[in-house]
Amino acid sequence: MVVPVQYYLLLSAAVFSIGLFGILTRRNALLFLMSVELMLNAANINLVAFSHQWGNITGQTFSLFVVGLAAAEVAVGIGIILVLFRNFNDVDVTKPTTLRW
Amino acid sequence: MTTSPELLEDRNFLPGLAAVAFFVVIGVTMVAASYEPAVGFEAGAHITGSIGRALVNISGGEATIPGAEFLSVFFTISLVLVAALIAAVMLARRERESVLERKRGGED
Repeated sequence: MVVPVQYYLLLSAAVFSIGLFGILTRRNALLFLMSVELMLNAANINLVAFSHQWGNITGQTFSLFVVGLAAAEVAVGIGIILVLFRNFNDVDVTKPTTLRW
Repeated sequence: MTTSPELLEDRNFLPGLAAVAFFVVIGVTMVAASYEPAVGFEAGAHITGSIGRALVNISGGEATIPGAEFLSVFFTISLVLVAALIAAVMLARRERESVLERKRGGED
C-alpha cells in the first residue's frame, strides 16, 4: 500500500509552519536556531517524498546535501550565539539592538 | 534572562498568526491539487547504492535508480563544511593576552 503524496506534503507544511512560528515568536537564540532546523527538515521531507513520486534518486541525494548545509549553518550560528553571550551575558535576541560605534 | 523554554505571557503572538495562515493556505492548496499515481522504485532496486553512485558520478551497476550527478556539489559542500568548521573555531576562541603584554603589565 502506497501512502498518497498529499500526506507527506501536509506533514512537510506542518513542520515548516511550526518552524516559522518559532522564528517569529521565540526570544531565545538557541530555540530560534532549532526553528530554523525544523524548516530545513521540512524541505527534506518534501524532497524525499517527491523522489519516490517520480522514481528518481535526485531528491534523496539532494536532501543529504541539505543536511550537510544545515550542519554547517548551525556550527556558525552557535559560534555567533557564543560571542553574543560573551558580550551581553544573555541569549535573548531582543537585547542586541544597535551596532557599536 | 531566558534560561528555559517557557511560554511568556507578556508577549503578543500576533506574528505567529502569519505562520498559521501560511499553513492553512499551503495545506488547502496541496490537498486540493491532483497528483499522478506515484512511480515509486522497482522491487529489487538498490536505493543506497544508487545514492552513492550519484554522489561520485559512477554510472552503471545493477538495479540502479536513475538520477542526476552530484560530484561538483560534493566537492563544493566539502569546502563549505571546512569553512564552517574554521569559522566556528575562530568564533569560539577566547581572546588570550600575549605574553609580552602580561610581562609589561608586571613590570609597571
